[in-house]
Amino acid sequence: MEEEIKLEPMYDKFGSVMQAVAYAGLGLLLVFGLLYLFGFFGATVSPEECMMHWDEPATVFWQETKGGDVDGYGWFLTNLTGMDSLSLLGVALLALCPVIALGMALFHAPRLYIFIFVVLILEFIFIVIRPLIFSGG
Amino acid sequence: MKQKRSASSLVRNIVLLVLVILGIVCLMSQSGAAAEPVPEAVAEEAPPAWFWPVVLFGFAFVIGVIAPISGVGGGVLFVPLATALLPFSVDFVRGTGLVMALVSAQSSAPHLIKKGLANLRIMAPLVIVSIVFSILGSLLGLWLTNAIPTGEYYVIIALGLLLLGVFVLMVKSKKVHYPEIEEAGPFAETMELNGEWYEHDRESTVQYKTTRFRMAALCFAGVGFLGGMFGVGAGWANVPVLNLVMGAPLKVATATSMSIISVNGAAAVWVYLAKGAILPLMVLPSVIGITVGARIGARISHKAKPVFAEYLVMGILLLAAILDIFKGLRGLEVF
Repeated sequence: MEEEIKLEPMYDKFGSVMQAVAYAGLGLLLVFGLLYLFGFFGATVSPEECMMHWDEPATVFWQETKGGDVDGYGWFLTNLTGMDSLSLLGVALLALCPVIALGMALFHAPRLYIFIFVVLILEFIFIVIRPLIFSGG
Repeated sequence: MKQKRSASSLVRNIVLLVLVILGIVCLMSQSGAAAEPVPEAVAEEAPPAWFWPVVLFGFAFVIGVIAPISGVGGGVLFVPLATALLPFSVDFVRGTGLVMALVSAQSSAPHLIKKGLANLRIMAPLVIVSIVFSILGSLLGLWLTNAIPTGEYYVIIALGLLLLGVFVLMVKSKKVHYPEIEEAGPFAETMELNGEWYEHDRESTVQYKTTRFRMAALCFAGVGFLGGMFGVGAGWANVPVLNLVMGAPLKVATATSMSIISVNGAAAVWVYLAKGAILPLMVLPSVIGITVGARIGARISHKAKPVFAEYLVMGILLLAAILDIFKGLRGLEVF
């Protein structure tokens, strides 16, 4: 007979939110990624062009394919008609997953952990906006 | 006493590994800044568009099958092997490896957290430290390959050295299923870094406490740095640190490591995304391949002999390390 373990509410909240956001992110990545892979609709960088330059470092790749440097998120956020850019929204959502889960669990955390979660969220926000501050991209 | 000794030797190994890799990278990049860029290879006739995505799918699938049997994450196998054997830039391989590690971790972490096996109280303060170093590692890794003409080869050599370190760690570190902690450390006591879960094998509730938080945080700084720099999940180091240094039971250490990767990896992905180092054409087949493979691997793992799988993975790691170092040195025209 399994004994009941009493978990703090923040565990359930964090886990549930992470699960939901991760599924949404993975769904976006898969759906638009497959459309891109099979050549439906438009692409920011076509698979053929991508294959010609993916052996070069990222900077050279973007110079060769788009004629400029990439620093920030504008390269895919301003090209959302391309299926590859849309699938990257899925990656971005996956990468936002922990901060959303932390934000939701914050309201259910013990006092000491509210502070730690806030520090983590601030760290995360800085990481996300860092390229925008330093390069304006 | 024995556990304390193996914990301090683990800390020493991790610190040494970080220092050696950093030192070599610094030394090589100093000389590399002045080096002539390696001439580009003559472009060969391109294969059909479906070819490389299918290869990536198969490659990630095989890794997905092997990883759960041996108990290592897919990223630590994918990144070095893909770097050594496939024709992609190490930037895109690391970006892909990170997304793969992230998807794997975020698929399993919520379940483990809700079950109480992954400990959020342990994860949160450790991640505050490791996330900073993970970002620093990602920035340095991408800077090396993009700012220095031959930087890519230094990163590949450093990746080979990291793998040798992982190999040594796998050979030397012992696993303790239920470490005995006489007294919780002062920080662990204040932060209540303890927990409990229902263990089906024992048919009882297991309670545990932890210790040596500061030492673990130091290790996590190093591990986060290497994970970000090379785009690997770093479960290979997280688990021994949580288990041997902090004294968390092995199941808790493994589950908590997953939740740490789901946060650390997510932070590092932003750096790669901002530098355009994540290509859906590589990410998609790799993510699907490793996910399908891991499901099959998880089923086989009950029947497979874990010792054989561990030796197999150790052999692959050693081979990948040698191939990476060879590829890096050849790129630098050492021979």
